Amino acid sequence: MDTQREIVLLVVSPVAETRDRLQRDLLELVGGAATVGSAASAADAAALGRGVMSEGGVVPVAFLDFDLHPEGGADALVRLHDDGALPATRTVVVTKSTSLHGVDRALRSGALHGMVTAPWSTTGLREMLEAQLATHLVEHAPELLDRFDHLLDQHDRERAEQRVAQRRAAPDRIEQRTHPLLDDSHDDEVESELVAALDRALGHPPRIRISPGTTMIESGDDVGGIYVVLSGVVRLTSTTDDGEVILHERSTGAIIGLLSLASRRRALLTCTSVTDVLAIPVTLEQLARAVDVDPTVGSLLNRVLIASLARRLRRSDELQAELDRSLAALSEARAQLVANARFTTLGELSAGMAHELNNPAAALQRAIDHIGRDTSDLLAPDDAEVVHAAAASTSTEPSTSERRALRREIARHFDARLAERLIGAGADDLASATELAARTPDELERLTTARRLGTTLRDAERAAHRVQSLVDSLRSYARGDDGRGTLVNDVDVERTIDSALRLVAHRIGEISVEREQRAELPPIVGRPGALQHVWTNLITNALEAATGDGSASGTLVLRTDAAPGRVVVEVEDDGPGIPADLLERIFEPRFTTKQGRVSFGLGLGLSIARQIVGDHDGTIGVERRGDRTVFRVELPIESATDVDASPERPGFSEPALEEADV
Amino acid sequence: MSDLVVLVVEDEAEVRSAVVRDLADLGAAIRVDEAESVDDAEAAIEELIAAGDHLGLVVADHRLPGRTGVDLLVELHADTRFPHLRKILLTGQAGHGDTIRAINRAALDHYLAKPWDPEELRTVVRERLTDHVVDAHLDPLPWLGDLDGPRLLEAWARRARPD
Repeated sequence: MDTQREIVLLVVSPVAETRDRLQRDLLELVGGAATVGSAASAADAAALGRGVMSEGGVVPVAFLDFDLHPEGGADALVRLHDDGALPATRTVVVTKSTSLHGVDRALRSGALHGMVTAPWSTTGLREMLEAQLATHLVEHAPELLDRFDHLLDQHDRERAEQRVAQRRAAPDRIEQRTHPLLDDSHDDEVESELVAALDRALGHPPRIRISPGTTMIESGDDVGGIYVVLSGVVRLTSTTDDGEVILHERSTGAIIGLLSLASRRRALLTCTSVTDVLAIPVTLEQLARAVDVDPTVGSLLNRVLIASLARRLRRSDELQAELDRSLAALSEARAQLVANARFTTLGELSAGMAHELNNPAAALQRAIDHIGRDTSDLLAPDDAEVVHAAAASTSTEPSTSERRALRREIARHFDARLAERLIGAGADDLASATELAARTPDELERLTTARRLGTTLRDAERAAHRVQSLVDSLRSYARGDDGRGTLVNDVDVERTIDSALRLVAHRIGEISVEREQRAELPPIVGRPGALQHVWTNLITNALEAATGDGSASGTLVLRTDAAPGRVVVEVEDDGPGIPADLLERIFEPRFTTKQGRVSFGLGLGLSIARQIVGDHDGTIGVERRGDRTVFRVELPIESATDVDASPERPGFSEPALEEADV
Repeated sequence: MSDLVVLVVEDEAEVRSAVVRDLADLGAAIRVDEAESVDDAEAAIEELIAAGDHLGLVVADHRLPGRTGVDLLVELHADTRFPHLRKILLTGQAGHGDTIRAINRAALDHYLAKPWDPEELRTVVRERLTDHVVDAHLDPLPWLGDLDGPRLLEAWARRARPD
């Protein structure tokens, strides 16, 4: 037996008081079998250890104060380890910190073998010392074991021997030993059994308290051990291209890092404490030792692991469901995008059509005018005059029933067929019919033809004009080249309403539309095309409401009024109305009261209206008045903000603002 | 002598006068009356009945203020006073459902789309009016020149000599 070799335990702390207390407690435990050296820093400790070893001494265990090193406990620990002066020394950390920053790094580097919480109990310190001392001596200096007979009993030695032997033989044997023993025990019970077994096997390893937000294991790093979580919540996150994704929180389970051990010690996930966490850090070595010493640890570990896996699997199923939901939401969003795109396309189509129709419409109007003039030049002056008069005849045209009544009246005096011919020749009462009847049949025929030529020219001109108005409306509806439209200083709101009405005329059908002008509206600053778009949407919405079910009599009121500094436009329908609980949502995109039906603007109509009114610094609202629904728009005469600066909104193309010609 | 009447129901004056103009070439023996709505058409029909005239065919637009052209045709189809009335829908805008209704419930005889070909319009009207004269057992004599004369005569002869 070598009684000459010096055995030195190291105490490393920058704080003298901690050093002294540790030194005193340790000396008491070793009882003269070893000395306790103290150092204020890792560098000092390394130097001290180097000195001891150069003289043949051993430094089996170093106790390092984790908390108060100026460079941080983890750095001190790693520096001591990396120094290489004490390659076989077991390092035990002493800490009262609630933050474990860096412990994982130390664990992974293999620099940390145990942990003692401060203030320590004599028993706790003793158990730690026994375990570490025995392990070191069995492995590196078994001949010195006898010096610690008072401290290390036969059992301690045997356990240490087993640990060392097995670590040498099969450092990764944990994985090979998986033989799940499943029973019906509750997860908690199994976990507490495991903790108890670990305590027995490892001599009550230290508990550490981890403050919220501490990173315990970082994804991708080497894992040197596991955490057995006694209380608190640990979140497992995965870093993806889109940021951190929380995979487990409630489903984390009591054992953290074990799965990483099964995947070549590379951490799969980042573990972060969410609440205060009380945990036992167990190094890989400790784990191996515990399994060796107490076979039940292995099976308990397996059971806890399986329970934890089951929990995570369930969580994975939940994640799958979440994913499905997200996918559904995504596809809905996509559908909306498509709808928006379609809406934009509609604007572009309108613009294209308006452009294409514009030329032929103009040509038609000019051609009709030219035909009229050439006809006049060609005809005898009398005939030309008849043509001209018929072409110039305006809206005083008799209605079909008046015309039939006239025919009946004339037919009482003449033959029914002659009556028809006399009217065709221009008779509009009995006197003119009598006069015409005196003409020769040839003259009558000629008059009829001339008159018909005139009315046909007039009809053609009217029709061409209508086409032109529709084209103009379409152009103001459609998106402009810059996609934003022109800001105009003197928008005639009434005229934008007229334009809108013309656009939706084909939809009005049985509904009667009333214009109610309560005041002369001043011109306002705004985008006439965009405002026309608002009216179009509101009128269309009202038309749909009014024709929605059979209950409505089908009247629509467009009311304009002036208020101080503002103009007011109201669109009122007598449809079934909007349920009160839906009033709030009516301006949201894709909101429609018609289930399963694609409505005008693909459900965007009202939201677009709101956006445009908002761009004009106006307000839009809807209310119920009696049995009628009223959309009310108020627009400031002079916009407070620069309307022109408003950004283009996604999801709709602001229509171009060419002022519609009436 | 009572007139054989074609009633044109169309709300837009320009379109109506164009239709009437195209039908004017049918011949002097056929009178074309005009109406601008379903209500007006009903009035016109009552007037011509009162005057002792004979309604042979209706050319109706579908889209009219108030009730639609199909509504009118369905109503006339149910009217026992006009068992042999011929019905033509002349429209630019009748949906699938409206058209089906016109065929099933108004026994629509012909569907013409706007813009119409005047020759086709005249041919269709002439053929359907011929059908009407035959079915209604009218004396074909006044319309031999303007309608399908040979067919009218053949039907007349067949009726005169029932085998």
